[in-house]
Amino acid sequence: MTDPNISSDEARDALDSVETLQRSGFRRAVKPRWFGLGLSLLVGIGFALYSLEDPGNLPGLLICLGVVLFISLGRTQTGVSGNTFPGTARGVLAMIVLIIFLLALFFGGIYVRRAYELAWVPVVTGLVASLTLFLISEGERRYYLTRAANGTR
Amino acid sequence: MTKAQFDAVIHAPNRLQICAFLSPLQEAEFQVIRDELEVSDSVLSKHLKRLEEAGYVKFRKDAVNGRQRMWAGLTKSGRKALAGHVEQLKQLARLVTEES
Repeated sequence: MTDPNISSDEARDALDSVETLQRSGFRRAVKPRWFGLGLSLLVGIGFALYSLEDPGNLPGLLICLGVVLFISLGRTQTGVSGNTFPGTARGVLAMIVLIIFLLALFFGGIYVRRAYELAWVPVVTGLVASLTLFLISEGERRYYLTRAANGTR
Repeated sequence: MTKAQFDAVIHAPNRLQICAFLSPLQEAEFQVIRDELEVSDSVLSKHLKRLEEAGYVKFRKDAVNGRQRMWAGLTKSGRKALAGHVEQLKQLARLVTEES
């Protein structure tokens, strides 16, 4: 559908309006720093716990529940949820690599701890998992802050 | 590349603002959208309903502390329509730049 009645000035005003509201959307999507920190600590504790020894299903369930509650709390506080699933092929590839890395860290930690009985393995797996997720959350935060400040045009 | 396509449903000022606000988000709460646009509940409801009828917006309801909250997000076709409309606006805006 085309509309010849739209003047160029009207188009520019509409574009300015789009830009302003998109920036507002990005600004609203910025989560507080405690969100990324808390979530990464929770996951890191889970990784460390499971490579320490076999703790059974309960701690895992509690940590999963904690992660879900944390995400839900973040959404409730900001009133929005950002586009977390990557829209580009590069983004999808990065997510696949991240999942493989975290799975390798999780099961690798369990295997190394049990096979070689190294006491420091749980600490390292927990720290690496926490640090990885914290850096990703900081990257996402910076992305939204930059877009909120500069827009997309 | 996005195909430029004027969309009469999206072009109405409030609906364009709603779509633009939702575009970087997965979804947003009704009250947040209302506060950003500075419109009344009834005005926002009317425009969201129009966008839903066009298949551009989807809703989800949840309850927090016993209070019903409504979340709205752009559908895939809504995102596509907005991108096409913005591209059309850019082409029109470019005309004035080239003319002046």
